[in-house]
Amino acid sequence: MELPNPDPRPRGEVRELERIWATPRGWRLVTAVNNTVIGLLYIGIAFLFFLMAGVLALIMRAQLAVGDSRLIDQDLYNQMFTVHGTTMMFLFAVPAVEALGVMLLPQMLAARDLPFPRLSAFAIWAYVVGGLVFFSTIFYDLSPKGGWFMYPPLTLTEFSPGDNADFWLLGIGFIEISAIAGAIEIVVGTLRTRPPGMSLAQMPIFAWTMLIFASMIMFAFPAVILATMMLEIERAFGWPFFTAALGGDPLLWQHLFWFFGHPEVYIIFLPAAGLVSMIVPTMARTPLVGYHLIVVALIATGFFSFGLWVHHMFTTGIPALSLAFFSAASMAVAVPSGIQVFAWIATIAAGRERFRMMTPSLFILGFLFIFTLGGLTGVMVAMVPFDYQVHDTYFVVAHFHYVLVGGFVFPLFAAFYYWIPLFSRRPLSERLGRWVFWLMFIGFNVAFLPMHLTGLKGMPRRVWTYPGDMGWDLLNTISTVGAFVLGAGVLVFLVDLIARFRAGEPDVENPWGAGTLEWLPNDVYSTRSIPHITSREPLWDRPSLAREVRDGHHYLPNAPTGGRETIVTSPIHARPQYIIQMPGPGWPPFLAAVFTAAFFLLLTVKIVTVAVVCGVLAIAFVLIWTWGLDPGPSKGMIEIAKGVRLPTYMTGPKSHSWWAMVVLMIVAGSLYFAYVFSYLFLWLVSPEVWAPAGSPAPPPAFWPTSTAVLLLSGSVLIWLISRRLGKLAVSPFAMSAALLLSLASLIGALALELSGHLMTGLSPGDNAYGAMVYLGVVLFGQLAFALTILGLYTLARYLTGKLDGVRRVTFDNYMLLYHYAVAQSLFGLGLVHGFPRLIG
Amino acid sequence: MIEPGKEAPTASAVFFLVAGPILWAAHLLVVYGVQSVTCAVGNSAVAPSVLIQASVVLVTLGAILLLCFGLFFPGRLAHMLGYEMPEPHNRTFSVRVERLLSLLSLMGVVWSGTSVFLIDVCGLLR
Repeated sequence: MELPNPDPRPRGEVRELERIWATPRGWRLVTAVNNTVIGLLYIGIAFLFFLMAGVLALIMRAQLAVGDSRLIDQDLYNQMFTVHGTTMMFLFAVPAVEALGVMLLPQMLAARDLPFPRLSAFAIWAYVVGGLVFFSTIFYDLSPKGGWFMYPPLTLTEFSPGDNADFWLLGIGFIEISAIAGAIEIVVGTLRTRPPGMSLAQMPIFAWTMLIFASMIMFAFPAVILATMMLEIERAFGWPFFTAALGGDPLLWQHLFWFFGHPEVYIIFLPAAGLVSMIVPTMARTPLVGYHLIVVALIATGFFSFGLWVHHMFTTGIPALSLAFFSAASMAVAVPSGIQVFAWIATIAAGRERFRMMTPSLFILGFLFIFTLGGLTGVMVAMVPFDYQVHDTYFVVAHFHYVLVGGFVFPLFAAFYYWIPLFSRRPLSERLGRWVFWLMFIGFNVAFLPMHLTGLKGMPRRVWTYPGDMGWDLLNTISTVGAFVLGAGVLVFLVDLIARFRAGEPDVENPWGAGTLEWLPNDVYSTRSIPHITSREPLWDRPSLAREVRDGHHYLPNAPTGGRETIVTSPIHARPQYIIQMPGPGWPPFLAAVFTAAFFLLLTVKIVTVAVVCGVLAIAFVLIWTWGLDPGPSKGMIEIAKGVRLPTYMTGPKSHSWWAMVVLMIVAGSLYFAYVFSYLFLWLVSPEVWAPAGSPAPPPAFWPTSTAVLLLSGSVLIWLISRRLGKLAVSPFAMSAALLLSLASLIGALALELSGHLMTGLSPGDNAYGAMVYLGVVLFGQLAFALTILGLYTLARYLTGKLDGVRRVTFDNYMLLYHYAVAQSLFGLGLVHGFPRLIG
Repeated sequence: MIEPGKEAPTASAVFFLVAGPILWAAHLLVVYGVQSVTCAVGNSAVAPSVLIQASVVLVTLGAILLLCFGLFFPGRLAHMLGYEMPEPHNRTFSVRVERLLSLLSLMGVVWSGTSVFLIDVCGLLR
């Protein structure tokens, strides 16, 4: 292969890269946006949550060690198991995966950074502040008590008074939004910032898993965001979505929660499988066996996981045939998982040299053992008759800990030992690593294997204590001993980490002799030059690659725009398309995150005025942060290799900004799909009260027709503005007026829709039908609110000369979201106005 | 200077690769939806069990046919979706992934569809 930049590079390029990508020092460190810095913070905080939730688990195990124990009281126990589950799932597992993505993806893809570094920083700080405040509620008797799934009616105000449940609903709902921000970054980063030549067929498996992980978040999280909105609205304003007496149904929560909750298991597991698929070939010193099969298994698992949610609801009275559909899917998902397990075993067996039994390998083998056992019990509980017997017993607790600890925690520790040499001057201790593994492996199995029997003997989940004569004492005592041994393993790891981890340049490059790009020589700017890729293990297939990259013989060995930048490539074949200019450190993302967190948390404790002020400040800082983006084409074309010149600006469907907006629209669409499902579900469970007798008829056809006309007029106006933007014949006044008119159409449509329902006398608090109708207006209102801010921001950029026919990214975003809002609202009009007439 | 890289629309590639799982999801949605709605509000002249069984069989057969099309004629499916695959390496990868996913989806569709013959269509387990 001919080198992209064969000639020697001028001196000073590396120093310039170091200056541009330098990490802020001192208290300005919080303004950093480099993936290596915020990624470390992200994984560090996620691990802190793991430790804190682990301590709660140990206290609970101490309480359960013997029957009739009074170590802690029942109320605190309820808070502890809720915070333990919630923290492990929402504050540890998903953020830890996103942290690994932020840390490792740019390195694996040899990109200088992911495309939206400030969005990453915002998401991380929002998570840090929101997460710490949520966890701290355990110290003030303010934690939720309804379990990590917060089932109503237990969590309705009647049975859970006070603010405890609201901390879960607003706190976790907000952290999910942060996870979605991270998912947008990962989807666009994986598809658009790969190095030239790295087609989909050559993408590292971890990148595949992160792509599927982020895509799953886009479809799964909106369901639980809608559910938390509905439950919070019911608690705060009495709209009866989940109150059966008023046409609601508590099972709706379960459907929405588990439509998120089951994929969540795979959202956690798939990236862990990706870590395993990266480590196993290195330790076996041979390429991964069955790369195609593993990609197939990952995609299939991602899809099938969305068809399993009802298996959490087998005992709720759903018709048997429905259960059979989901039972079949639950067993079918075991097939792609099995494919991966066999591929890893085959890779271990295929190595010409003996599999290296280092600490990461031990954790991988531990994962294989534990996860396979968890998978087998998963097939057992996928069978409806068996599930009836063990539902809500400790058998299920054992099953999901085997899946989640085996399927995520063990691979994560393997990843710590494997990748820490990339970020630390010294690797972790191999001797202590073996202690960590054996303590954790033995401790885990001693703790959780007996729980299968405890469950089969009938011990229910979530009990604070139990009578001493039930025959459960010995099994519980063994489990408690195991839990503390497991905790000791984690403690040894922590000691090793504190003793040996020192952020900085590693002493040894590529200590494992791995074949993937993250082991290229790295610095704050990632690799000196971005390599051309021709295989899946480029470092094995081209031994000179590290030297070539370090000497700047590949793409973009310098900083031609004078700022932070990386190459954007095409999503399938990774052909270079343009150079993205990225922002550097700054206060706005940090402050926006802090005020966003403050808005949600203050709202939880009903300090509404201050919360609104914080919300306004958060929006203001987001606008300040985005004002400096969209630099326009002023830098022209630049040379990234000999004879290869790329533009430094891109608009339209090829631009990363367009892609991010499309991803956001998919998220919004998923949320609206969950709303449509909820509407139809409530009708289906109580068709006789849809609408209830005496309820007003829907507004006359004039109202929805006028709303639709306004919406369509707005869309046409946007289309006209798009065509005329930048044309000299159009006066700035006309363009500004048109932008304002488009907003007026949207707000007018919203006002008409709301007025129509109010005019009929329909009230959202009377019954579930009314609540669902007005929820549709709320969702429309959310989009209208976002578009109003975006529209005014677009107008401001236009009036200050930062928007024209070429420099039009802001307008394109407004246009995309506007058309989406119109489409969603038109569909909503059909549902809310048409459906009752259709069935009536 | 080079032209910014051109390639088939990403949506075409995505739909081609995951055509099988999309069909599986559509099948699950339709059979679950038809069965739930018919059992809850069924008041037609035809007995719900016959209606549900006929619907599930028809939908399952339709899904099987479409999945077999994707399994045996990936080239035609790619053409229909506007997904051009000029490079042999990527073509091999895409076709393998599409076929294997169709095969797995076929298994899932058959597994779900056959249950209609084994279980009372609107019965509860309690």
